[in-house]
Amino acid sequence: MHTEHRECRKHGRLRGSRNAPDSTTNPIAVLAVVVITALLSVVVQAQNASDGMDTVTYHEDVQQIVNDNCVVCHREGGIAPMALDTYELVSGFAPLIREKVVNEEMPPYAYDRDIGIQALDEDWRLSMEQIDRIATWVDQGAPRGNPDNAPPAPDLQDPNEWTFSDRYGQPDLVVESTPIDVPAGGNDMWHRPQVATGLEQERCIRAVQVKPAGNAKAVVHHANSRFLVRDDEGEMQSADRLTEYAMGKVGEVIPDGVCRRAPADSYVGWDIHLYPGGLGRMAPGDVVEDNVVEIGIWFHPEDYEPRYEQDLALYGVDQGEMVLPPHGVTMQQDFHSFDHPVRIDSFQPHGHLRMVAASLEVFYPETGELETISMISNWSAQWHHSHIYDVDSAPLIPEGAVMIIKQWYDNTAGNPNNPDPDQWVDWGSRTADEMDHAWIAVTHLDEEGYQELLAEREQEEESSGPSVASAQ
Amino acid sequence: MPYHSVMRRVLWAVAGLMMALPLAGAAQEQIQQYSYLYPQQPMPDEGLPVSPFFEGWYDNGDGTVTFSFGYLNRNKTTVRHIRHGESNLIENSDFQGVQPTVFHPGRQRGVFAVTVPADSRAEDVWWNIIDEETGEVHKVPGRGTVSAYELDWNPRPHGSLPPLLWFESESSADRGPEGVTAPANVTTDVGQPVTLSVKVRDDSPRDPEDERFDDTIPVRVVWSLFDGDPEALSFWRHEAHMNSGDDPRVVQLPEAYGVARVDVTFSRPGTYLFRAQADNFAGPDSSSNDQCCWSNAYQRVVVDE
Repeated sequence: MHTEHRECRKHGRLRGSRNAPDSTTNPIAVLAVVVITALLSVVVQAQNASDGMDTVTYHEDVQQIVNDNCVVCHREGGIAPMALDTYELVSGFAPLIREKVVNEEMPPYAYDRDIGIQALDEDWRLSMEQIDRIATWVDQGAPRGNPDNAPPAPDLQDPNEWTFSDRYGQPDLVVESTPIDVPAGGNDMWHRPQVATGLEQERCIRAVQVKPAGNAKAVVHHANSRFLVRDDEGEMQSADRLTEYAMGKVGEVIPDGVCRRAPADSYVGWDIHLYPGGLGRMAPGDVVEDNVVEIGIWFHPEDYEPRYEQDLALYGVDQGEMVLPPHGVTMQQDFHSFDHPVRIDSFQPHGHLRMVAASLEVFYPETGELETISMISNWSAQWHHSHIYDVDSAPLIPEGAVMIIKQWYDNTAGNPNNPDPDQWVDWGSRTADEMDHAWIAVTHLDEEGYQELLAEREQEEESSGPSVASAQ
Repeated sequence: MPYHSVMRRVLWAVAGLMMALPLAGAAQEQIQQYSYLYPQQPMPDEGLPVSPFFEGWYDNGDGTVTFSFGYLNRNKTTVRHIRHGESNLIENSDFQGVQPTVFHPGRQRGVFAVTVPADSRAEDVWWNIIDEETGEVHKVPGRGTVSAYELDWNPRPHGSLPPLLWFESESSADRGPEGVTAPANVTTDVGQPVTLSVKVRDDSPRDPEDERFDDTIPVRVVWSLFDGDPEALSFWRHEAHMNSGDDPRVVQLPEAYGVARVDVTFSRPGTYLFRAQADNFAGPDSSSNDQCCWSNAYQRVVVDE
């Protein structure tokens, strides 16, 4: 089978789940890996060419991939534009499917392979083997195979169901925004209701999901939320951030052992950015009546004893000016550090229609090393994924290390999301304007805990041998 | 320096050069078009050009569309004065002269608007600004065809509307970036203070059940020079607004209704056009970044010797 169908860019660096500078930053090692990988690729391709190719069929080789990764959206009533739940439908779109899969536009989870941390929770990417299998199937004429060998029909979740319900059951608390009609066109809107949570005691959040109701998904650009509490005079005061939602985001899972607090007697202060008419293929282009956004929260047990606090915060990427000339490009970056050790639990870059790429790096002043944590080189505003690092791979950052966030913007006609490349663009709240920040969930450690986690990982690495990137 | 350290640097330099090569062409192209663009450079006090911005378009429901324009003066403190003409030109001659000649530092949104007749609503209205020092041309189209730039006159989710403004009779009040223009000029002499005033009322419908509206949301009015010699005048706090803060150009109207005044003296004769922007930015659903809710009023002043 072919090993290289991908037409998108690739990175040459493999990394494990280590938390500090390692030998992969050695340029000699990097070059060696690149050369060896290229040689191996040539050898394998030559071998395949001489051996001939096994026939790949839909029911035997492809349908399970489609069932597991596509049908959740591509089904009758799903959010995708066409259903892909029969052989006839899938084979009818075979060339398009090949293109989207090979270029890793589908499933819609943009995150570069072979650079940075690859062990992610809620990772929608196909493995390279799956991509190759689909491409080969299309190249061979999309043969059907034997229907008797078809895998069982997928047990699909209701598209309006909470995504995390498979894992945690129904949310312990659901807070709805107040309903509002979203017109078919006009200026973006910012709906900021304040709604009581009904919480009688402080709790620690285990997972949280924000869910626009029904066909409102395409008109809810973002839905940020923070807790509000009353002070002694009864005035509403801002408290901790609850969560952030942007188009396409699934939700957040807070790692065990830490606490993101939900205060007692609190309110949810919503900040819902609505985009009349909608964005993307699922844009209703019509009035959405009584639009409601819900937050579902799963709590840890009442007797849960966390060791550390975790929070989600907005980290600016505005060291330079956010100005995009017509038909121009630009890059923004910014630097953040902590006066205590931290673990980075998730990374979610945020921008609008001109943003096309983002990265998170860490610079270690003591060694001068620079480590790439995450790279998203084909970012799209239609899918704001929070990249949740597997808890055993989440970056452990010593005191004083510097997070470097970079975001790239393209105001040319070559950017398919660009509504008008003749316009000057700068920072603003509307979808047509731009933004430059990232949402990052951070567990705030102390030195003792940091050293313990380091020791645990070193012990694990010793017991399992050298780690290699878990790119699927 | 140890050999491996030197080698490491050489290898990184080679790798960096290889990575930079594809970008260099793009950067060169960029530099040719916009030689000032150094995104990581802090804003300087002076020396940078002014860029026109198209804020968006309103469908007025009668076939006409209104285009709202603003600008970005990237200089940190310097006010730029670019007179009407080739260096500050709206290509549709029907609208030439309605744009500002005085450009205050920073991003100034929705400082003027033009309404395009129904029979030409599909045509662009270009605003061109040429930097007289560098010769760079910065231009932007007013365009009523891109939905992402559509604005509207509806109340925002919590009721905010652009405040109503008028000069003489409330029956002539209007709102929004196109706003109202004083029917009569104010006249004065060099050195003689003159009071500029505009009447304001916020009629935003608010939810009486929402405690955030238990107290009236105040309206803010900001006076600025729109056209004329920016070196030839001084603003003074009007005695009616002594509680509005340090900047005499800024007037707070706690009751969201009243007259916003400012005193001005001139050191040179000439004609000056002032802009008063009344905003609802204290509301939970209104800000400059949101493109709502503010209104403009324009007052011309003729100054004799």
